[in-house]
Amino acid sequence: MSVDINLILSFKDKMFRLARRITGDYEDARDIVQESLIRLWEMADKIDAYANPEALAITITKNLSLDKMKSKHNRMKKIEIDEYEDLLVSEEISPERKAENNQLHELILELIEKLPQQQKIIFHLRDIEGYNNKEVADMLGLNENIVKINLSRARKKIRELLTKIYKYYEN
Amino acid sequence: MKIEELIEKYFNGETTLEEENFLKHYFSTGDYEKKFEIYRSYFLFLQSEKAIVSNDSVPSQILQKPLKRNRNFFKLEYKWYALAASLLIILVTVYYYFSERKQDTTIVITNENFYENEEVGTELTKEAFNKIAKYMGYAQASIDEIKTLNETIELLQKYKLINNQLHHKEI
Repeated sequence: MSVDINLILSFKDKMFRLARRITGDYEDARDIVQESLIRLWEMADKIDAYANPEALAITITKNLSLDKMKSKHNRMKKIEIDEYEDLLVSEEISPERKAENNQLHELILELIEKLPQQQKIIFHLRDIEGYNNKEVADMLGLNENIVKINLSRARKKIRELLTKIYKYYEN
Repeated sequence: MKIEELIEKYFNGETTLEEENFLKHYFSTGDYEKKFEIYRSYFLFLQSEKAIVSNDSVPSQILQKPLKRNRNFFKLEYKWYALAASLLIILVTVYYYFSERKQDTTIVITNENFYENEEVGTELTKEAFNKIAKYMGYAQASIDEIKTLNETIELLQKYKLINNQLHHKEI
């Protein structure tokens, strides 16, 4: 496959979305995409040797994003779904108000951000970017079965939240 | 398959990409059952996340570093490395080949024949020493015989002398 600047730049949006998903930070994601593009460009000679340049772009972005997260380790604290319920019923973010302001989107976004890192990345690549399980496994260097298990766990957690939100709406 | 079943299948992580795309499409239209409202928000969320793009321009480092120059440089360097490695292998092989031959070579001269093989040379040398030892054995036996002969002659001469003296006395 011939590699040119247009091919590399065609991955830019996907790289940005993944970096934002992992870091949860718009500015960090921008920096990571720039850095990833430069790395990809520097590897352009060798890209011919890779079966899938797009997968390489995603892998580089994922690695740089995780590196960034390691450096910011203590700034992001994982909140499990039980803790998330507290957030949902807290006075300052009432469900009614969220519904009124169309903040359901924000709630889902926040839950995804709080998923364990591996589940979050797998969920993003499959459910948002639309890669199949084998492609995701190749990009992340994982077994396809691991991808399937993590995807299933992530979706179940999301469903749990959706059900809780729905109950709030009904009440 | 009913939408309800498909949703169930999705959250168990068992849907195909085609089925997931069908769900996304189903909820993006206005014609859906109201009981699925919460799921609609979720599938719309997935689609809206994919619509996010990066508006950043191409990193300046990429524009300053044309791919062609970079590629030629690496290709040339790779060829030289390959050539140098091949020459090194050939030189090392030749060196070891000749040094091995030198160690093995023992020139043995027997009569007018030259032998360059160590084992043949050793065998022939042993054979030569055995022959020498054998002839030395013969030589020792001959010397012993000569000694015996001399002693006998001396005895005979003594006997002859005594005999002559006795004969003179009788006359």
